[in-house]
Amino acid sequence: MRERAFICDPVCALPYGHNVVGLKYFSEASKPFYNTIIPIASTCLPEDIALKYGFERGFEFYYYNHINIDPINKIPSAHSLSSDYDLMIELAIQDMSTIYEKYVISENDALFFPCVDYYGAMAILELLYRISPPKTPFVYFRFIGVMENATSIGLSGLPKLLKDIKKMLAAGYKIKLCAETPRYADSLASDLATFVNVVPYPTHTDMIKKLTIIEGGGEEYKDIFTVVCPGSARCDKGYLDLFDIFSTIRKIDPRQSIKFVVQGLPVADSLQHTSYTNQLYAIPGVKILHSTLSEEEMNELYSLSDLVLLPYDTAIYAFRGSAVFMECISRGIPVIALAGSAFCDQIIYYGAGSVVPEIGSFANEILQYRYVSKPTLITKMYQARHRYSIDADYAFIQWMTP
Amino acid sequence: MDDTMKTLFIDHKVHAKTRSSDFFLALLRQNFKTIDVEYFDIESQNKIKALNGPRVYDLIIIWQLDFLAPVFISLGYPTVVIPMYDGSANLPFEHWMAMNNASVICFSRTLHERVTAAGCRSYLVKYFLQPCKESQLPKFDSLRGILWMRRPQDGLNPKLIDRLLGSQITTLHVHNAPDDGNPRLLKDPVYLVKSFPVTESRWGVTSNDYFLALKRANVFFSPRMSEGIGMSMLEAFANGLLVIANDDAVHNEYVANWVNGILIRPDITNVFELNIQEAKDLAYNGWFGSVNGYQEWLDTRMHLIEFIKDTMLMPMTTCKANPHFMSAILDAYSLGADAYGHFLREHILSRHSIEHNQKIALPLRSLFHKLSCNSSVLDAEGLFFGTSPKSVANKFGFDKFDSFTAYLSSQMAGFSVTHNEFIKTDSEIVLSIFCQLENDDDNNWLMLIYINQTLITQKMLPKKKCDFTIEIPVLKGASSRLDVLFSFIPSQLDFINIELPILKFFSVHLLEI
Repeated sequence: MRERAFICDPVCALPYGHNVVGLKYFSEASKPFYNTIIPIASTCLPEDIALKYGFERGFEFYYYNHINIDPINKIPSAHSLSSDYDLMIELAIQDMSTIYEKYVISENDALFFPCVDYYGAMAILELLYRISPPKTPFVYFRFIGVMENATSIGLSGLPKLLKDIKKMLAAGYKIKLCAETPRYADSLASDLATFVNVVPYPTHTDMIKKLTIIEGGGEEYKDIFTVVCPGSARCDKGYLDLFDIFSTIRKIDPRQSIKFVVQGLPVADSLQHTSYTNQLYAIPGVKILHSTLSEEEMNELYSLSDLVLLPYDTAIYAFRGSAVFMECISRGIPVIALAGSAFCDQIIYYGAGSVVPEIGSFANEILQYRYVSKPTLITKMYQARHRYSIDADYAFIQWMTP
Repeated sequence: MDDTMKTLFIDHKVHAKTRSSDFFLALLRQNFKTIDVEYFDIESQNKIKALNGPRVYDLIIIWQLDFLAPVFISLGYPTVVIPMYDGSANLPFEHWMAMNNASVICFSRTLHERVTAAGCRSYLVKYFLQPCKESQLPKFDSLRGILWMRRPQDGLNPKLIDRLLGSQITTLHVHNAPDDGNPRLLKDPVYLVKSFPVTESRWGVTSNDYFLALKRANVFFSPRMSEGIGMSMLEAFANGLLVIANDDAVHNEYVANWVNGILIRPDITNVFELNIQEAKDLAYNGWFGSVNGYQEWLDTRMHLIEFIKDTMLMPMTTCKANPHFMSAILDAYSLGADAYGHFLREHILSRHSIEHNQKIALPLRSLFHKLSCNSSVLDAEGLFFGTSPKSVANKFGFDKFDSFTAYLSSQMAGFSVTHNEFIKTDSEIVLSIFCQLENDDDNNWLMLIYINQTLITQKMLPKKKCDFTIEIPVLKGASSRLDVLFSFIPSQLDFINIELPILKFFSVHLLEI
């Protein structure tokens, strides 16, 4: 067993969303491989949340021009508010150096980035480059197709990051790579001419409760069938398509045997879509939740879901995975997604739901799920979850093994 | 029931007659032992007893008169505000920011969104009335309309229905009871229609005629362009009528277009086809929405009461009461959104508190930052209105700038100056403002002058064309920043038609006496 794993996520700054949950899941999944696990988030993550999860706070926030972080959490340094690329790199290197020195990180340790961000990754590469490869820790980069692209100069950082990784791999540095979806892994493997594993979320005890309850049941579906659109509501997650889907169902199902629960847009976006959201709100049987939900509220939301919709923008999700999908398959909740996103391959492969060709097909597919018998669906989802958890857990173990 | 809490419910005087807040008051009475009710008339500005007597209330609940909230908040009262979309939709964001220490209950999602963006603690309620039984739903053998003609001046009249649906409507009942003025003459060419027969009712001793007509109809035309709660629309939903309403809140928060009703834009919607089966399906969806919605409202009430009670736990400001603050805020409010927003920025909101209030949405914080004005520095040479480099830049209520002058453009005007560089703190000082009345004016204009929210003096404007100086004593120990506000009140209280005096402002000086 190796000494310590530093699970690093400089983007983990908001008290909600998948960064906190991801950092938690991967920290816990790493425990069997290391004597000590040290999760490190952004200094902007509220202190109470960091304490609750046992996260250190070690990274300035480098992405003010990408993500609205309230500076109240921590007044950021003047540097971090700058959009200057060199300053950001310098700031990230400084943070990483501080962590490196504080913990006296050695070749017996590992640095693990569960969702790679550009400045965090560039900083550790720069720092390691100053040390000879045998003296450096193992570095694990998990690509999810989001913040590895984010630079303050508006250009995608991925090509530069991949170029540097390639150089480091050639020089003998111990870097292991994975991606969240098979499609993205294949793309990265092609760019880097090396193996790139596929590592989705490892299954976590939080996720398997729902399936246990279903297994204990066996009765037909309850009167109300709840269709949920979880995750931070965003236009690129199909928010603006929901009215068509919901209203079609409501016309067919006026007695509301199917209900919908959706998270609303964040305030800044919401003010630009007031009329649309009003119309969504006006559909009988639609409940709009707050845009940000705590981990507990998210768990509660999953627990009442019979079906989850993922009408994501296929261009934006061409390589990306879906944390919501991974949560759903682990909990035995079927999903319906719009064809084209990278995670659709996984939905089909595991039989974890349906992929439809267009928004207009969602309503019909929802009705199919509404009337399929519960035991049939349980068996199907149990099998999907079984295959997924074996693959996800094994993929993680295999990847973690030096 | 809480045995100890004393609560004051403040409502608009008109609701004492319409009883439209009674359902909420009844809910409060079920949950709070002592509820006193005061009705406030915005026009006569009657005194609110709670502001003039000893402090006896633990909680203030303000229905619709949300501009009163800052007064109570500034006095440190736990305050609950229930604004209405039709009255408060166009108020500036500063209005909501000034309520950050209050709890807000919104019957409109649109309003809830604005209120939340401004950092307030807000609770969204979707109210429904008890629906009729399914067996009592109206028949859809023909389309029988009903219109409560409340706002004919907005185009919501029989002519509109004729234009949109023509002879698809077999009969129309008009409840001829406008919000303003007398019932209209339906034979007047402005309202006369030929495509369908029209029956008519008016308010009698009871509202029976309206409700009987509602029961006979199956298509309901919403009577206003927008609503705060939309009681008549909710009645229609509850009785299984197809609702057709203008596309604005709260209608568009209840009517999903062509799902459970129809949204129109009277100015642009053209004739449309409405077959009977479709009308029946839409109406059924609306009715069933009220079946579930009513149950949800019943389930919500307990949470709503908890939300109100939790107001007591919110941190309160401890400002010293200012007897003139209420009249100042009313002046500003009655002068329109710009003057009101400016007043709030200058007198209630501080940039520091906005920037550090985590709940205020970032775009609003930056908006506020842009709008907030700096005070001009007043030195021994004085300051000039107008466009000069030394202009009193922080201005509102002034217009038509020349190099060194500005004209009064509203009944409220103000500016801010900072002066500490040349005045000894123990001196008696006056702020001297040089002006000119450019016309003879028969009105007796009273000018109220506030400095830093305190009414300092009041003066009558001259009646004849002349130059004059307004001298305002500055209190000893006043802060170096002076927020100066003029409120001009005419002797004849016809605010809409009255013309402002043509008043020209030249300069501001600070003089030692």
